[in-house]
Amino acid sequence: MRMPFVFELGCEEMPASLLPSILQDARSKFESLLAEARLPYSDLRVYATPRRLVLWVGELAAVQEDRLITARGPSRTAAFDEKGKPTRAAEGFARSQGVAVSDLEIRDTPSGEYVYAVRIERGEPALCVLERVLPSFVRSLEFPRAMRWGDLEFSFIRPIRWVLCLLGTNVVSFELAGVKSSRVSRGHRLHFEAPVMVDEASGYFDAMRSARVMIDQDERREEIVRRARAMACELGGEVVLPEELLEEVVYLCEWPGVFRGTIDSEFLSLPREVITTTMQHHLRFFPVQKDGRLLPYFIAVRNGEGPGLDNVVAGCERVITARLKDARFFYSEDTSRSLEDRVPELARIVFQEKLGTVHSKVMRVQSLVQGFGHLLSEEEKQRALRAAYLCKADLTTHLVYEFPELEGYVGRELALHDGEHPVVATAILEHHLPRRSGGAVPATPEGVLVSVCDKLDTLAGYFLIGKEPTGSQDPLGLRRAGFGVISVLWKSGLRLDLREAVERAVANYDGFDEHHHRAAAALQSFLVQRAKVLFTDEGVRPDIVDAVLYHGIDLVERSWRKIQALREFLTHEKIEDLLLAYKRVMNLARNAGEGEVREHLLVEQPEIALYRALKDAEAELRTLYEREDFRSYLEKVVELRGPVDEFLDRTLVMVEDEAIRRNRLALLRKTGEVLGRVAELGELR
Amino acid sequence: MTFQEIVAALKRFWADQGCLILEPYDVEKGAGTMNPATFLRVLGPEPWRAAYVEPSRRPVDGRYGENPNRLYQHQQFQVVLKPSPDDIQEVYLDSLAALGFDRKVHDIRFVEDNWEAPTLGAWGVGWEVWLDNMEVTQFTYFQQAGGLDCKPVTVEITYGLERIASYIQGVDSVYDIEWAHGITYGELFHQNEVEQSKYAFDLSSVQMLFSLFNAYESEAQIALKEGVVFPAYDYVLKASHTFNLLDARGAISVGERSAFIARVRNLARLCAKAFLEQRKAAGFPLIREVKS
Repeated sequence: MRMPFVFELGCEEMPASLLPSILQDARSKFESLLAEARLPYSDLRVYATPRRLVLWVGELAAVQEDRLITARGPSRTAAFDEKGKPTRAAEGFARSQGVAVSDLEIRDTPSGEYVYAVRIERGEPALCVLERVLPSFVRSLEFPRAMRWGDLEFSFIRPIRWVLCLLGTNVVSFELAGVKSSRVSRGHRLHFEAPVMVDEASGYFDAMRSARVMIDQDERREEIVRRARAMACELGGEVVLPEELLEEVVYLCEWPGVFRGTIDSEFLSLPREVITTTMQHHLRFFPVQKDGRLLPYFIAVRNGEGPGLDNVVAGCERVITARLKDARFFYSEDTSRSLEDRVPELARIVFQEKLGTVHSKVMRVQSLVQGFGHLLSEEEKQRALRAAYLCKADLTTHLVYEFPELEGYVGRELALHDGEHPVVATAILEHHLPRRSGGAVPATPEGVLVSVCDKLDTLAGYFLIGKEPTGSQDPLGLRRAGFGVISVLWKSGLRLDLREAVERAVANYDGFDEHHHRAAAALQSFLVQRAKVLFTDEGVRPDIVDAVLYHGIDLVERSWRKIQALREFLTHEKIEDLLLAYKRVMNLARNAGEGEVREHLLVEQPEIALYRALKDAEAELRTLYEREDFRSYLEKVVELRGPVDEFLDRTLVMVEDEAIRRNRLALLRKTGEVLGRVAELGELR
Repeated sequence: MTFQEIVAALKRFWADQGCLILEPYDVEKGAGTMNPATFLRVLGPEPWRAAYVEPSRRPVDGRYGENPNRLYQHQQFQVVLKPSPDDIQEVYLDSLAALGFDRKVHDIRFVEDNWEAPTLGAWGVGWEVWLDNMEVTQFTYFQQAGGLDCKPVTVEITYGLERIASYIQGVDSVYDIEWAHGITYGELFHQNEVEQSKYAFDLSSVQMLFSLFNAYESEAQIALKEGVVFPAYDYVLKASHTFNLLDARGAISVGERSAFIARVRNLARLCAKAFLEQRKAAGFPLIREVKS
């Protein structure tokens, strides 16, 4: 028999931003709990509101599944005497297993014949099992920062205040953090006073709905989106609903009350990002726009619906007006001084304690940009240098101090205000890109170069002082910076040699000489790792990525094209030929020393033929490689399979004569280099 | 409701909740948390309930009296309860009702905001409370103070009195708040804001402040050596305020900053440890009183 189950953990308000990952954690741990407890189920769902975590199972077995227990006892000879009568050992074993001696079985095993007891353990009622395991399930949930409260030793994301737990009509009773589970829940904090009695699990959602709590986060989300869109439509615009903000708002209310408010249209002269940041990050309001321009409205969500909307709207309008007034004041203060004037002040802002100030960082980034300036046109190079010089100056502004997430936007606005070249202004903004994984990358060559140089400088610095990321944590955003470097170079195709850039970025720091070598090597392989992740995320087989990146990475975009070529070539009918040839060659070529092939030492026909084939193909292969037509390169190189096989089948490589032997090994090494130039084919599976 | 009526209502409310109504502590400080009635009393097992107004000085926030919401010195209403009561959020909502905010007709939300005071070696977990989207209160469960685990946990509720008063009175500038009928916040404090900002940003003698900082630090150390915790802690507060003045003057280079903070934190830790030892030696006397 199966029945519905509900477990509601009632807490003080949990952090909205953490709830999605808490739900994931809860689901997977509860799934394994049910599996271990041998409780079959279907229709498991997890929900969260600011004040509750809810596990719901539509159909949960009322009783555990029976379990067959097989225990091995003494060997046959120890269990039965010559007459076949059971010994004391057999009797003792049967007793310990709770079976009759006559029920013991003898089984043949690789280590001889043994006595076995087989019995069925009857499942316990689910109620008893759950009462036992639920408290430790709750304790097993993990949070970035747990807390204690009252005089308890218990720690959790926020204090636990009530627990409702029902299987069918029965309370699953246990105690957690000093709270006894029951069938009583609480309603909406503001709009429902009485305790909420739930008679049976199946009635849970309706009971909560009448207590003004919408348990299902997806339902709250749909409600918000639907009503916000309709409201914006009435205002003649469309609502801006960034996913991250929407998700947070969904978890900031137990019942969404969507409403709109107005701002004074004189504020619309502020830069768009200043207004949207004020609305979104500080107040969790959604902006309204028409044809890409903001309208003087916002749409917001309060916790619950009911009387008092006028209070809420008035309060929100007051708050946003005060904030925008501040912003306008800061903006006019900030524009009273140019970005250029602000650069020297960066000497008062720490980049990292051991690595000096932001001003010295700017100098290093500029020198990197200078070093790779030849990759751009002369005009672009000058603008990139200018952008590099100005790119951090907005850190000294009031606006960035107040709204750190506006870094870059403020720089761009001030640059435009100062009359800098528009591309310089854009590059200042773009050097922060991508802001998150998969986010937009710079569109201008200037932005690309400054972005890459800035990130490499940051990475080099932290690697020099031994702060490379370990484990899954990335508090300094270094993995993000690494992904940024790779994706910017990849998407832009800028032909910046990554090895060289890493060396220079590391060498740019004074005073860490003894760490240079280690840091550069670690940073190289760190970046290769990031590239591997990004490339495999595109759906490429990991072994293909490994093969191409086997010897590291210099030009990111070229590596990607090698991957594409190799990927296509793997469907080629001749692929096996290529791989076999390569394998055969490399088996022996590994023993080769240095040294070129000497023509006069080639004596047998097959080796001469292979040498000629290589010679004949050499020019064309070089052209194809230089043109980066890797697909054609691979097609061409397959043709060497014949001469390779001929040579290996008919010529003995490891001959007595040392000169000849070394020459043949050199020939193989050269062949291997040609075959494996696009990728280390040995990595392919 | 005037400013002083708000304060009176909060005092009455929290007195009814069993809080001692204390007065501000007479040493300059950046927040009510630094009053020994919070910082020291959150330590150790003795129960504690107190409420008081704390004028709090934050030199870098000074704006020469020109900004309607930012002040060199603002007024906090501070409540601490140890151990944190199970129904504390409900009680807090009732306190808002005592100020005329009926929860049924306002949007009140608890939005994650964890708190950390590096100079005190203290941190906690909690929320800022939004009243119709205005932050009116900081609500914190203390986890550590002076580097020591808080057991049991104290809950700290800090009301921003200027915010609440401007909301209640419907004024856009703190200077327009009526402190009492016929006299405004501006009339009482505007000149103070102008002069304190001017002093902190333009006039203070950096050399004197540095030598004061050093003197306060060494005096605190001497007092600690002699086992007198309260005088030592007074000097920690003075050192901390002196640091804030130097900071506002831009006199502390970025490289030195964390070293200065660490010096204050180190003293705060020593005071916390010494206070706890004193209470222990005295047999934690407040535990007995509450049992009756």
